[in-house]
Amino acid sequence: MQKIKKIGKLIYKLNWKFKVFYLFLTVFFVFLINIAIAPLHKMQEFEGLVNSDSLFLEKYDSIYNHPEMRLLVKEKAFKEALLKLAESDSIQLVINLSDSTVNLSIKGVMIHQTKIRSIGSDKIFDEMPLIQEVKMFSKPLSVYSQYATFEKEPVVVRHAPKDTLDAALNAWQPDTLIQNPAFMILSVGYGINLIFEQEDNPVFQDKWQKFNFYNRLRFINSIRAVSNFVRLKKHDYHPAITIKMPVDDLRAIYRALPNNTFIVINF
Amino acid sequence: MEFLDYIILKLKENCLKVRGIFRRTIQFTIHFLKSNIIVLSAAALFLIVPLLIRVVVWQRPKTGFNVTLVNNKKLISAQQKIEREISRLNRKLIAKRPKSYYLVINSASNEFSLFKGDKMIKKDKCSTGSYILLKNGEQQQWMFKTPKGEFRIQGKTTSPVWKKPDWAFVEEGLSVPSANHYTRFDYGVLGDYALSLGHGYLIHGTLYQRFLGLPVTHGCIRLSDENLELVYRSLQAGSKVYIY
Repeated sequence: MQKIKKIGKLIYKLNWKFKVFYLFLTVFFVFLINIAIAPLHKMQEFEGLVNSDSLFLEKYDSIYNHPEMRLLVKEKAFKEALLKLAESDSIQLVINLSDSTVNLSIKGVMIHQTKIRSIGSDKIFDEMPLIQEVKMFSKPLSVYSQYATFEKEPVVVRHAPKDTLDAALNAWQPDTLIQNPAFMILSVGYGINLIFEQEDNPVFQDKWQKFNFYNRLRFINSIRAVSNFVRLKKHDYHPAITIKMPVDDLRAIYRALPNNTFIVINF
Repeated sequence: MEFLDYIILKLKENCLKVRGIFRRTIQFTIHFLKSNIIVLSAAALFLIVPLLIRVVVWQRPKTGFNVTLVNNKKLISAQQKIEREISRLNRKLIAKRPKSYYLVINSASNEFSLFKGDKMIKKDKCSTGSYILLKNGEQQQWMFKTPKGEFRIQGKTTSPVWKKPDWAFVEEGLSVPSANHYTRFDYGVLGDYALSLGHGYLIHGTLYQRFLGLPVTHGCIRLSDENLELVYRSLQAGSKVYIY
């Protein structure tokens, strides 16, 4: 008790600049703690999804957790999700992390397949119990937002020529050689971020674009974190899966996906 | 020699100066650390503690159902049941895929693939929409892009004649003629065959074979003569075409 009083007196005696400094440090400390414990909130949210669905819990047999059943249960969940996905008319994305492929599908028909070169996933997915995986990924997830470093529709505006001479002088030459480096992010259900990177970054422009892409992501996350903190809300943690693939496939996938689409993920 | 001595002397002087600056910097740093030890250690602690908390969060024990001891019979029967369900789902998924010929067009890389069931028959270059937005003043505009999604072949024709729409004249700086004016009818530019996808979109041939593999069309799909014949012979009215 005496020690606390001593510290209190010490603080009281402090210069006002130091008081402000300590106050700022304390607020910053609380802010960092808020960020540090954010995955815990996410895990609890995922647990809550399972526990609140009594019908699902009834159907889920504890024998599924047996190591010999695990793969079969996951496969069944994946097939169920694919079948539900086939009910939609638009072009959708299927990410199969177990066989390292990304597919585009329309009404159950796989129209494009590409091999993933490397996968990086958040620790939250490694620690995820099977029951949560089945609950979350046995149905398609909505894609809420899409962003890429290249255009979805590379529209070229041309004005009609006045006469045939003007048309001949301004004849358009087709060219697809100019292509921006490709990095893409999809925000899907459960607050999951899917980050797609082009496989190689051979020139400086690619590296610079990658740097800018991740900086943009960090900036958005920081703004969101500060905004949540100021409003006394929990920090919104977005688990991420990073996928590297050939650049042409990445462009084809982004350009094919409509704005409101669905995605199936298999771990 | 004198010049050399002078240079050496100057170098020594400079070395001593640098050493002095270096020593003073170290002394200042040590003094600063000693005098602000409490503040600095508090700041370091404030940064380290959240990091430690994040590490602890990831070490949180797994929750969920525990594996209970099961006898072999129960396990085998559960496996068989789930395998049956998987094969039922697989059958449903396979049924979604067309059994006969179908065409898949990748408008980003300007390639097509012709399939029969799950077997790829041919993959080659094609041309799709250029994404040009042609503006004729403020009133009229046309977007030359190939639509995406699932389509069906609506009809097939040999030796097709192109009835030029308005934009074909506007694009060339010509005045737009009446609806059935003879200048609207162009013979031989669409190749030997054309397959209709509806809404005016066709799969046809081209005079500009060198542009195959590039996005140059007004929304139609252009194939080389050889590929067009193969596609024409393979696809029937009602066959599916997937464009992405």
